[in-house]
Amino acid sequence: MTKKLTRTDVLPGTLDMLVLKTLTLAQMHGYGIAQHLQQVSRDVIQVEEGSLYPALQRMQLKGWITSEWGQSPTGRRARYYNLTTAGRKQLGIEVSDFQRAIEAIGRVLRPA
Amino acid sequence: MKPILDSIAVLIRRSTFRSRRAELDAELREEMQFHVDMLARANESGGMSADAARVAARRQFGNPTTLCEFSREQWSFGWLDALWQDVRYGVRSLIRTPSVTITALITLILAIGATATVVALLDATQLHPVALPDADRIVTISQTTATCTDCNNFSSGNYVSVRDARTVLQDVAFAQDWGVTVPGPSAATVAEGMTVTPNYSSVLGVTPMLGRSFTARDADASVNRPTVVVLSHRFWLRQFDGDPTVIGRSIALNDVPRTIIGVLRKNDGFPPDVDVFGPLHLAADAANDHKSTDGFVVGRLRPGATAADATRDISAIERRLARESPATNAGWRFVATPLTQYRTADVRQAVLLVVGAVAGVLLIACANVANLLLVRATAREREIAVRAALGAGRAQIARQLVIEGVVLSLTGGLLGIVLGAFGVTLLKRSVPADLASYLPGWAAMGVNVRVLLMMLGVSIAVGVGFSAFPAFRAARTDLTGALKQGARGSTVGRGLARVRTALVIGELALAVVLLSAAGLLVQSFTQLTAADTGVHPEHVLTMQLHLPATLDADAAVAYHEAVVHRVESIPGIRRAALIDKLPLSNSNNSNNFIPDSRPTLTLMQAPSARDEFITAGYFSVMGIPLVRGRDFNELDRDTAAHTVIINREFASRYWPNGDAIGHTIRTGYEGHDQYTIVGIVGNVRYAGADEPPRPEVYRRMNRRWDTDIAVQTSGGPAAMAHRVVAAIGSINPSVAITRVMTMDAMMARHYAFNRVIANGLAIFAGIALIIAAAGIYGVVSYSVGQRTQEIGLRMALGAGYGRIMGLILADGARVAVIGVVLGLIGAWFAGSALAFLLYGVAPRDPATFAGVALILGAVAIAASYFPARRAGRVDPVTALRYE
Repeated sequence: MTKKLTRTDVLPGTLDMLVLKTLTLAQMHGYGIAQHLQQVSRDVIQVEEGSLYPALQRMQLKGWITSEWGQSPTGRRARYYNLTTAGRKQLGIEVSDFQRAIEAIGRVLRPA
Repeated sequence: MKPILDSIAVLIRRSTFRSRRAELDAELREEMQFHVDMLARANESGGMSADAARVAARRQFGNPTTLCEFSREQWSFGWLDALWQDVRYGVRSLIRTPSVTITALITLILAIGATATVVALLDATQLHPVALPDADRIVTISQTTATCTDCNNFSSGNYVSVRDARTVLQDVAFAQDWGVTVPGPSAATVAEGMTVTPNYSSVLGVTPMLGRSFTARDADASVNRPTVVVLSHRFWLRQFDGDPTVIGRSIALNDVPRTIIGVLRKNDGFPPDVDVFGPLHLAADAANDHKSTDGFVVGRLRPGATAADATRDISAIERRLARESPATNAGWRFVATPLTQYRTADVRQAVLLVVGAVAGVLLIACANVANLLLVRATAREREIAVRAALGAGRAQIARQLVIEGVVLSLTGGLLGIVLGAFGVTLLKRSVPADLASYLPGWAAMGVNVRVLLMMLGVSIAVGVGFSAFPAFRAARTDLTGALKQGARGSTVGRGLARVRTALVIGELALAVVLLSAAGLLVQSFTQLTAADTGVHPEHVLTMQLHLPATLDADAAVAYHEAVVHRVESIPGIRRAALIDKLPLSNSNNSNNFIPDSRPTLTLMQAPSARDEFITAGYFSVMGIPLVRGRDFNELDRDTAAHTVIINREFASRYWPNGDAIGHTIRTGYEGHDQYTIVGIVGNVRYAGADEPPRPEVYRRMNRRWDTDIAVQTSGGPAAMAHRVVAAIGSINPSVAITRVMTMDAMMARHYAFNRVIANGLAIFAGIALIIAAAGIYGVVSYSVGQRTQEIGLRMALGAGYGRIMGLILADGARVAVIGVVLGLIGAWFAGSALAFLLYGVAPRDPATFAGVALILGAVAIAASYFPARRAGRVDPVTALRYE
C-alpha cells in the first residue's frame, strides 16, 4: 500500500494549476473539484478544504475563474465555477513552468 | 502596461466583493454547508449511519467559521478593515465618557484653532507669499549698500547694463512707480500704478485673464505717457464691478484717457499692491542714467540656474561699472533675490515669534488631553484586561487606543480649523488694508489646501502625541490584578499621579512663559503709543492730496495756496498747513545736505537728513516747538530767498558751539543749491517713537503733486472732515483726496502691527491660562479621589474641615510653585527672543515676572479650591468603608 500522503502534502504552489486544469473539463462546484482531484490522482492528492476555498476566492479575485449558482444533480443549490480566458492563459503559463521545473529536477536526479 | 491593468482589475474586483460582503458571506456559508452535506452523503453510502456520517463529515471538513474567515480574507482589505473597526470602537468608547471627551474636544478646538490661524499666517507671509506659478524661477534685482541692506531699487542705466550682458538671466524687465488719480463717482481717488517694459509679463510668466499684455509697439507709442493700460484684478473689481467688456474702453488716469487692453487674473499682479500697469519706454538718456535709483527690476533665471548664480553674474557687472564710473556706481552691491522671499524678511521675526507662542499653546493642550486620557485609561483597566484575555495583543490594544486618540484630535482639528478660518478673518480685519497690501501673500491669506494639509498633519501628530504614552501604559496592564474585583491599585495610582503632576507642572511653566511674553508686549505697546514723537497735535485732521500730473508747476503752487486759504476760511478751523509727508505716514524722504561747517564734504559724503517741504504754520499746527529763529513767512515766498529751517539734532551736531542761524547748507546737483538757516525747531520722530533722532530739514513748499495737509480745528476734527473735503474738492475736483483721518488715528494706525502681535499673544496666553487652570483642577480633583480613605482617616482622628482643605490646597500650591519657578526660568531665557519687539520695557522686567507669578498663583489656588472643599466635606464613615 502506497503511503497515503498527508492532507497537506499536495505539492505546494500547484493547487491553483490543478484546480484550473480540473475546470477545463467541465464547470464544477468545490466538492466536485476536490472529488475529481482525489479520484484522478488515485487518492494521492487530497485537497484540504481549508486550502481549496480560499484558493477559489483568490482565483476569482484574480479573474481566472467565475462562479454562478446552479442546481446540482441532486436538486440542491450549489456554486459552480468556470474557467475564463484569462484563466486558460494562466493555466498554460503554470503548466509550462511546472514542466520546466520537473525537467530540471529530473536532470539533477538522473544518475550521472 | 498589462500588469498595471491587471492590478487595477484586481482592485476593482476587491472593492466590489467588499461592498457585497454580507451577501458573499452568506453564499460562502451555503457553499460550505453543501460541501459538508455531500461529504456526509458519501460517508453514508460508505456504510455509516446518518448521524455518524454527519459527524465524520464535519470533522473532515474543519471549522467552517475559520474557513469563511480565511476565504474572506482573500479579498478584504485586511488592514483597512482593522483600522475601520478600531475607529468605530474608538468612537463608541469616546461617546461613553462624554465629560472627558467634551473637555478634551474643547481644549483641542481652541488650541488647534489658534494653530490654524497662525499656520495660515505663516503660509501667506513666509512659505508661499507669491502665488505666481514659477515664482522660484524669478528674482528681483536690487542695489544695496552697507547701510541699506533691504533697499529694493535699481537704476535704469544699471538695468540696461545687466540686460545687455550675457548672464544666467534669461530675461530682465524694468518697472517704475506711476502714481495716478482715478475719477470716482463723488471724488477722485488714487491708485498705485507702475510703468513696465513690454517683457514684464513674460518674465513673471503671467498672461492676462482678459485681453492682452504690452508689446514693443505699445511702449514706443507711450514715450511721454502710457496710452494703454492693463488692470489688476482687484482694481477691475473695484472700478468696473468685474464687467467683462472693459477691454477697449477708456479710463481717465491723471486726467488723460487711456485705453484698457487687459485685465489680470486674481493674485497675478506683482507687486501685489499695484492697481494699474502701463508700458514703459526706456529712453536713451534713461539708458545712461546710472544714478537715480527709482526702478524695480525682475528677472527670469535660465533653467537650472539659481539666484546665487545670478548674483554672481551681476556682481561682475557691478564691479566693471564701479571701475568705469565710480562717481555713480562706487559703493553699491548688486544682489538677486528669489521672488518667493520678496518682503518676507520684514515680518519674519514677528511671525516666527507667533508660531513659537502657538506651539506653546498646542503643547499645553496636548499635556492636558494626555492627562485626561491617562485618567480615563485607568478607569478602563478592566475593559482592556478583558480584551487582552480574549486574545488581543499588546500592540493591537495600544494601536486601538492611539487611533481613538487620533479620532479625537481629528474631530477637534476639523472644528478647530473652522475656528481658525474665523481667526484669519479677524486678523485680516485688524490690519488696515493699505498696510496689508504691502505684504505679498496677505490678501490671499486663508485656510487653503496647503494649510489644510499642514493642519491635518498637525492634528494627527497631536493625536498620536497625547495618546501614545497613555496607550502604551494601558496596554501594559497587569491582567490578573485588573480583573480582580474591586482592584484599586493604589501603587499604580501613585505612579500615575506623579506622571500627571509632572504634566501639569509642564503646562504651568509654558503658561508662565506665554503670559510673560504677552505682558511684555502689551506694556511695550502702551509705552510706544504714549511716547513722545516730537509732535503734539491738538484736534488735528489730516488728509492726502493727489494732483493730476497735468497741472503744471505754477498751477500746482497756486493750488496749494488756494487750498490753505480756502480751508482756513471755514469756521471752526484755526490753521491749515501743507507738508510733503506727515510724520508716521510710512514715508522716507531724505536727502544729503552739506553744512557750511564742513565745506570739504562731497554730496555723497554729506550727512543724510529728512527732507520735508512745508507751508508756513506747519509747526504751529503740529505742535512742534520753535526753538530759535522764525517760521517761514511772506518773505520766503520769493523762490530766490532760499531759506531753510532745521531741527535741533542737525544744529547740535554740526554747529555745536554756536548759533546755527545764519549759517548755510548746500544740496542739489553737486551741492550747488545753497540755503540759509532761519529757524531751528524741535526734533520729530517721523518714523515713530522707536527711532533715534536724526537731522531734519524743512524747505518752503514748491511744486509737489502729492502733499499731505494738516488742519487744526478748534474741536472735534472728525466732525469737520466732510466740510474740509468738500471745500478742497470745490477748488479742483480732479484732485484726489485720500486717507482722511485725525492725527490721533494716524498715530494709532502706525502701531497697528505691534498692536496685532500684542493682542495675539495676549489671546494665546489667555487660552493657555484657561487650559492650565483646567489641568490643575483635574489633577487635584483626582488626587482627592485617590486619597479619600486617607482623608476619612484623618477626619476620624480629629482633623477639621479647615485642616483638610489646607492639606489639599497645599498640594495645589506645591504644584503651582514648581511650575511657576520653572516657567520663570524659561521666560528668562525666552526674553531675548522678544527683545526686537520691545520698546520701553526690558525683556527681563522683574515687575512683569512678579505679576505673572502672582496671577498664576492665584489661578492655581482658585483651581484647587473646589476639590479642596470637596475633600473637606468627605464623610469619614463612608470614606473608610470605601473600597
